[in-house]
Amino acid sequence: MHYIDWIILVGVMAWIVWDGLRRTKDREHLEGYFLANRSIPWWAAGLSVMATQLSAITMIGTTGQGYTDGMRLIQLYYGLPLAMVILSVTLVPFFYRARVYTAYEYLERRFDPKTRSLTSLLFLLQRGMSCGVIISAPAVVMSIILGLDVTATAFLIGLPAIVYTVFGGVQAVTWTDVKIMVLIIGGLLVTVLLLILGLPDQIGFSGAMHLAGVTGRLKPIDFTWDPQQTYTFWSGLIGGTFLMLSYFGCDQSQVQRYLTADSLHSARHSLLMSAYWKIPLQVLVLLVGILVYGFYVFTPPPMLFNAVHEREVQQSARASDYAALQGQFDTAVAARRQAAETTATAWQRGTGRDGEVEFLAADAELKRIRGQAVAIVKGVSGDSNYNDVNYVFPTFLTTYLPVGLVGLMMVAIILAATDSIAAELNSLSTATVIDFYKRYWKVEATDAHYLNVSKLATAFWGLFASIVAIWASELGSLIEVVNRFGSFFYGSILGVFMLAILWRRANGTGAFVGLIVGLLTVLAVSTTGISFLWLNLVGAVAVFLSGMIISEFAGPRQPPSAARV
Amino acid sequence: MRTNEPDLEERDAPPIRHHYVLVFVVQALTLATLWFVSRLFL
Repeated sequence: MHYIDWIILVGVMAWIVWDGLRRTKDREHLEGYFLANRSIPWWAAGLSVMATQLSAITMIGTTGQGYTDGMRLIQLYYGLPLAMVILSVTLVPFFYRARVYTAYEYLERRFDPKTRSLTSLLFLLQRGMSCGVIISAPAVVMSIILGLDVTATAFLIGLPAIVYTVFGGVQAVTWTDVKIMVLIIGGLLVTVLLLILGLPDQIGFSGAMHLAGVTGRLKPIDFTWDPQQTYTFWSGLIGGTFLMLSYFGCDQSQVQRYLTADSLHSARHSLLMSAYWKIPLQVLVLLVGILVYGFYVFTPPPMLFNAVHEREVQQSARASDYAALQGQFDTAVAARRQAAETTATAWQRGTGRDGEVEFLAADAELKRIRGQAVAIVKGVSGDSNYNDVNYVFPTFLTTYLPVGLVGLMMVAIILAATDSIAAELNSLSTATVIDFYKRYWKVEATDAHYLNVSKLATAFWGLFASIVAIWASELGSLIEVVNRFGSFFYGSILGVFMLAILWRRANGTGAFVGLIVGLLTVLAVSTTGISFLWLNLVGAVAVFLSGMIISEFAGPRQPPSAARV
Repeated sequence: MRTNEPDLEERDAPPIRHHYVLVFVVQALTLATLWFVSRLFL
């Protein structure tokens, strides 16, 4: 990267941290530190909700998905608007009126302390680990792009989050999220514009979109009914609804965003912002990937987007195999470009589908060659989880964007990780202090005491996430383990909240045992190879049904008045 | 502890129900647009 880009990267990061701390008021009280005294306007809370969900993995991985698969991933979000409306009607008013700090606190009022503690503990385990992955996954990619050591890159991503979250609390997190969202959306829009301008004049936007359409990249709906396939209309609408209900309704990292809103009305509006804008935002991210594909049809792409691995292979015993593949690749790139020009021109003139068969054949050939090149990398580097797709977008940015914009886009990617980590550290600290320290350790103390403990807890989770990140970057497969680990818990925790709200006769024993039954059911069902999206539905239904039955047989029923908060 | 009665704040708040309908209208339009675009460029 050019030194001007480095100045921009470091300057923007320093400004974000400084401004986040500057805007923080009333950091001396627990409610100010954790809930911003419930003073955040709906649009800022809404942007914070969206920023927490949009991590660097989205910026790198989703654009990569757009490049290889097109719009298919968008189906994951089809259940989101429905989930947001359900939450606005049900859980949000319950949490807001109960004036709780954590979602799990509500479960003690409704059920008992052990149900609260178990759900909060599951949250701490899952979020603590995933926080490390959120640092490590982009750190591995960005270390190659920036030419830094992985640990140094993890430090660059995680340290600002730890600093402004420890000292600024939730207000610093929220106002930083707002700025980062503006930076990310602005950066993506500018990238789309530059990609369109980078296409050959005779092809233009419509020609590139036609080529994407011919390869199946514009398909937004797949009605296939196959539970082992991850992205279909049905898995997105049904499994996705349960996933989003769990994530936005029962995950403290999201619940805390809208609990800071200045009224119940604002809390609801902050969630509805995602209901309106999440799908268009994901379309924008995927469109960037699709246009990068169109761009590389007419501009020769590298065979591998990870230059470090490419050099490693060129210096290994497989160098001659790689060189032979490179020759085949160059020939296929030229053939694809020629066929693409014929295809796009014929379509634009309305003279038929000339060149389409040749274009698809050349595209498939390139995919095959790239697959072989990736297999060589895996053999040489020993990295069996290597995914070249993650390097497509960052490599495009550093190669073709003008100086200055590269720095801005790099900082946007890094800050996308930073703001998600900050929100998670903040929520991990809140759950640790409110659900455990204040509940079991020191029930009565001054706000100043709890505040100091909260800062220590934030720093502890920051350190924990950093250690997981460094460990995860060395053991690639761990990332998958952590992601699957999360999907085991999400649906089951949602089941407990469903039981609390929908089944008035449910009691603590039913909820606690039901949660364990749900976790075991999900564990058993996950061995069938079913897509992770369906596990959320399985967990929620298993907890709800078993919780209902157990509540009927065990323990005294609660009076209806106690069932409400 | 509270009952299910709407509180003062909620009673004074501007109505939000129309947003619940509008969310689905916008989503349907978004899906229709995506489908239309996928056909337009094919």
